Amino acid sequence: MKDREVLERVSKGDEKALEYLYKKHYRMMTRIVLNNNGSEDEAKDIYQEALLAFWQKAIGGNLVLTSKISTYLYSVCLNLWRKELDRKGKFAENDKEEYTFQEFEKKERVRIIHECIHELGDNCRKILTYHYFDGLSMTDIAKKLNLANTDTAKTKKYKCKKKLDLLIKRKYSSSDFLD
Amino acid sequence: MSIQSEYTRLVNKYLDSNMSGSEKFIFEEQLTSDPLLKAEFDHQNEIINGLKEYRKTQLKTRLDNVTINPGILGVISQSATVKTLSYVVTSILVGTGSYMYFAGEEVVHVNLPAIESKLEFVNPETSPSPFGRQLDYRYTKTINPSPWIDLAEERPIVETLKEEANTIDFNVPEVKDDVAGDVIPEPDQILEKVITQNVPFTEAVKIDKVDIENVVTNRYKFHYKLDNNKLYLYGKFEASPYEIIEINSFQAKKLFFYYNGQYYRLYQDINDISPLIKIQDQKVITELNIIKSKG
Repeated sequence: MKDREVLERVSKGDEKALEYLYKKHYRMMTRIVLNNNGSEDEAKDIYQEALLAFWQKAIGGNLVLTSKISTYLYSVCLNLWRKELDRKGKFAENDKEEYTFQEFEKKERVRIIHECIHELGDNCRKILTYHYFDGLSMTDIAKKLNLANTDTAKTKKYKCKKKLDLLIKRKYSSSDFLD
Repeated sequence: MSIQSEYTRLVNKYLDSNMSGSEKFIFEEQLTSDPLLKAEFDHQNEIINGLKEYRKTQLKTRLDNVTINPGILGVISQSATVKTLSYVVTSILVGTGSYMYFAGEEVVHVNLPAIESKLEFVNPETSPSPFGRQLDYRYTKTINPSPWIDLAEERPIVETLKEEANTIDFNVPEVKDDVAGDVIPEPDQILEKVITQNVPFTEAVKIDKVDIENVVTNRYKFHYKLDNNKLYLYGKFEASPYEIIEINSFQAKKLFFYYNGQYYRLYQDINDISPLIKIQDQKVITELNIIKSKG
């Protein structure tokens, strides 16, 4: 599969094309991290992050490729790993206990939100995640989820978001996250 | 509609980028001054980030389930044949290493006597030669003023050679007999060395005729000089039979002078008139007597 075809499919939210890309460049991309004091897990995580950044940009129509996809991914992986190394260095200098507490609180909130997203129905979950993470337009979401039209997708998205909001607020109140 | 609901609607409109320029400006101003609006904004942001994280985790899980084909090296390293081969090679390496390690010590140990036996020819002072016997001697470190025979440990050469044949040859360099350090060997010792090397006398020795001239002078009493195969004897020599014994070994030619029942060593490379020094070593004398009787 050529780069142009891959990009075309990815920009339409084709997850099979994403898998193809992941498989194709896995060795080359993970080697960047592995050769720079990174572990296998870190290498895989960095590569996945880079690939998802490419995914979001491609779907959002914000990607203008002036080089091969592999070159683009390579530079993203390199930048992400540099940031990670920088973060690791700063983390070592900071007060560990304070950081751990902040992380704990944040993680709790994220855990509750994830719980609530999981409680949503499959369609709601897809509409919201496709919209907020993938950046798919309401028209594309309607097509992808076989909804009647764009307006149906918009209404569904509004209702799903409201439902999620209520679920989260309820759980926050019981966990004393809200004053 | 409650204030809370109104705030939620406004925040969602802003986050979905559905506000006009002026609406956006007013909202951002209000956000800095209204804590309730700010709290709702943070909450909605948190939900959106949660949704993003959720989706990211979902996609990452999907990617984790993708089977990555190992590279060519990975395929090779996972094949059963290569694994078996690697085990065999490792076993051979370990075995060879162990053999070299343990056998190395043994070889050195066995060859030490051989090295010693070769070194014993280095110093003429410390390598006495029992005349006419095939024996070698090991030099002991203690400098003992007692006769050389007390310092020696008798050990047949034949046995040593057998031992060497059973060991790996280390190519121990032979030490030349004439390398004797700073010690200038005595004439008798030089002869001893020649005999120690078991030179077959029947081949190496011959008695040659050398012209002899007696120079009567008061200046020298019992001296000699060798010049162009002619022996000049300085002093009062009786008209008794003279005899010159020449020993040709593979290294050098040695001359001995027999006069009046005594043997003297003659040096050809000395240009000056030198005194005749009597050979006192009984074994050398015995050997010279044998040669003389054969000649």
